[in-house]
Amino acid sequence: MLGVDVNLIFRLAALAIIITIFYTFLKQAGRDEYAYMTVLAGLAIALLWVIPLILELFNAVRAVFQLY
Amino acid sequence: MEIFQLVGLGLTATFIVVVVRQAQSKEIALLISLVAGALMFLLLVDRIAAVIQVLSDLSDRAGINRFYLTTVLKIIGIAYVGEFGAQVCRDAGENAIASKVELATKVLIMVLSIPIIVAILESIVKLLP
Repeated sequence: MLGVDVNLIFRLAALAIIITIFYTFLKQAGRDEYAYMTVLAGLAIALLWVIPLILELFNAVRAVFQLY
Repeated sequence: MEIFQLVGLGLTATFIVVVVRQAQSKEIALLISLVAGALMFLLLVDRIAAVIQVLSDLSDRAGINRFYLTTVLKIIGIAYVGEFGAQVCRDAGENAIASKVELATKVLIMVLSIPIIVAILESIVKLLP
């Protein structure tokens, strides 16, 4: 069984699609600065999700290969 | 079979990355490929740990100094992490940063291997009359 959280990939994909929809919508409405802000916020959310996983990866490598 | 899960994870991640890249959000596509790589390693961690356990048992039985095995393991870990980071950088089109990451990896590996080189030189000097 998959012991790790594979849902993160799907969550990121959904986030990307939603952000893209908002971006095109706001751009069509002529609000370029809000569109850019939306992309930035989406990127921040994605980073908040991804960084703990990267931390987990590094900790796993450190534990397995006895790096201290 | 775990191989099907791993290959399925890779194919799904590739598909999603292609779709997301079509949707003009390249940053999140990069993050998705990063997540896929991290998840694959986390799935393999148990097996790698088992292999390393066997190796350290063998080296204990052969009476080899533990220091050498841990150095080799550290080198493998550093090489893996450095390669991971460099490939992510290269995926994003930043070849220069990837080269620097690889340089840092090589330097750290060199520093780790210096004690072994010194030991080899000392044994050679001892062999010489």
